[in-house]
Amino acid sequence: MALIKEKFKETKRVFGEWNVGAYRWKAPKGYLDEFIKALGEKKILGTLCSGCGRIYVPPREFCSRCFRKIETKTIVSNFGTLLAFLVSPPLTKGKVLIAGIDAVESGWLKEGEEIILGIVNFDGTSSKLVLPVLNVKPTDVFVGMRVRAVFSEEPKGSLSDLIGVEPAEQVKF
Amino acid sequence: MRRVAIIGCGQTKHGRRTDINQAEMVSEAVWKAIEDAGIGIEDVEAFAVGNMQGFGGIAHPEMIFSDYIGAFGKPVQRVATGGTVGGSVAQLAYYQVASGMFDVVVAVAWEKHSDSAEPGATTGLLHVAFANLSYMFKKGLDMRSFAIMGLAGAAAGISAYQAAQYMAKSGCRIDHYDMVAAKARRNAAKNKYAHLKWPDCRPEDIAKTEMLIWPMRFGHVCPASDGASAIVLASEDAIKRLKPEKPVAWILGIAAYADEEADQGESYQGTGVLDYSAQIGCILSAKKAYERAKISDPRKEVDMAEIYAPFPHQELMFSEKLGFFDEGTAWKAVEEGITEIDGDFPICPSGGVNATNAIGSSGLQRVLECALQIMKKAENHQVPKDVEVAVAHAWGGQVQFNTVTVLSDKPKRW
Repeated sequence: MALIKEKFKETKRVFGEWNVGAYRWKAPKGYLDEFIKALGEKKILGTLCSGCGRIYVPPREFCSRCFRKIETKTIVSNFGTLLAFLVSPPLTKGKVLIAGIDAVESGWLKEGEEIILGIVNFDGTSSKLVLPVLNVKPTDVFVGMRVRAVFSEEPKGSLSDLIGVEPAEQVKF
Repeated sequence: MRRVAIIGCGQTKHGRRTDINQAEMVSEAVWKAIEDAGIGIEDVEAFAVGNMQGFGGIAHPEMIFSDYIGAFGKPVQRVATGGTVGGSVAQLAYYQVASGMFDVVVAVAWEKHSDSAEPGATTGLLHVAFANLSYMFKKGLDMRSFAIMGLAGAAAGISAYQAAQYMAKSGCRIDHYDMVAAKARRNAAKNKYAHLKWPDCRPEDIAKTEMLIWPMRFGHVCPASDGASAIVLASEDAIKRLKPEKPVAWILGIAAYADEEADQGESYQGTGVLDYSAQIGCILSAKKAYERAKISDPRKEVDMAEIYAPFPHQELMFSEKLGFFDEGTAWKAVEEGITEIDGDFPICPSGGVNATNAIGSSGLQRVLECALQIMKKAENHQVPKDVEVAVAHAWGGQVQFNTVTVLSDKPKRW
């Protein structure tokens, strides 16, 4: 087999680009609008499953564990625990390509900054959010650290109102 | 359900395969498997195929290459479960034979990363996330937050979280990840089909590589390989009729489970629900597959395993979820050399996914490698101990889907 292989050292290359086109997805209203509205008030909204008691943040319309419609909304704590974290090296041009775009060159990320990304479990919730860990040196971050939500100074009711988390008081015992 | 065995294995050299196109690559593996089984193409009744959906820039690759694999006039079924797909392809072929629908089925899975400028990412991964991201942008996600997420996006980013969490939970250090990665490179050097080969690689060599994002070094990361793996599955009746000359590997039990949707979800609803290191789908799959294979103590009754671990901590994490070691202790087994190729419980003697990752192929390759060890055909990476029972695992989906396949040198007697 491999018919072409016998004739050519390397398969002839044909270059092509694929524009995947535009789509119109149906976006269910869900609870996300209310979640965003709450962020504008510096609050985190979740939903409480009446079957198993799990609290989801961001809010979900159904519980995937007990397959039940969720109708109870609840404001959860702004405090939580860091379950895991990553530390980026100081960012430079050419290092971070996202969908072919240089994130440093385009100004989305700053030259030289080190970003800490964490998985945060807000108190009482059964779900986790991926958020930047702010106002702390990478060497001082640890798994299990108590953190609190950081909101933008002038929240405008959008997803970017929740900027990340920062260390809360660490109770030692 | 009928008894089913793997009677032939074929795989291409994995690596950067610019010498062939996708159809040729897939056919190379299929023909090798058929030849290895000692049967003719006329004996093959159906095909189970799969790769990572959208990768390689071809939406229905099986339509293009079905002629190349001798599938004219025969049923070809494709399955798509993300990174797990190879494991699912093997299980689809098992269902086809065990159910009595077909006697001889070929399962083939592959990936050709080198065809796209950005391996997989543009055509594949963005498709997974695009609907969700579009909605998040509509709801005010800014470009900075998007770029920050992008720093640790997709399976590699999630793996880095797992690595950090595993260290915190188990007390192991990055040195242990270096040890596992070095073992993968050393084992791969013995495997003529593997990609990243490094004979005599030491953990210190891995430790010298650049820290990409703490706690993951460059030396911990799997390559983006091209390659295809194929196996021939046959029923007990067909084996009596075909009388293969070489030993066969029987499938004792299979299972596949998903956890809750982990990372994304239409309209932001599933985002981050999971604890990435919980992998409940793996625990459930192992439990069910062992129950079907009548295994009660996997550490004692299983001889070796091929675990889907693109990153070294996953070999540790999944080997615990699969019941080979107690929670948080697998790194101690690595320290003691238990998981080495000549150890008491070899894990990934082929070098595993950490050394060779043609994503679609990877899941099936785990099953294939277990079969090779049972058939004693693994050549230079054959483990010295007798392999009677082996476990093949695959991980993927939306980072929450797992498959487990238990193989043995003897057919099940129930």
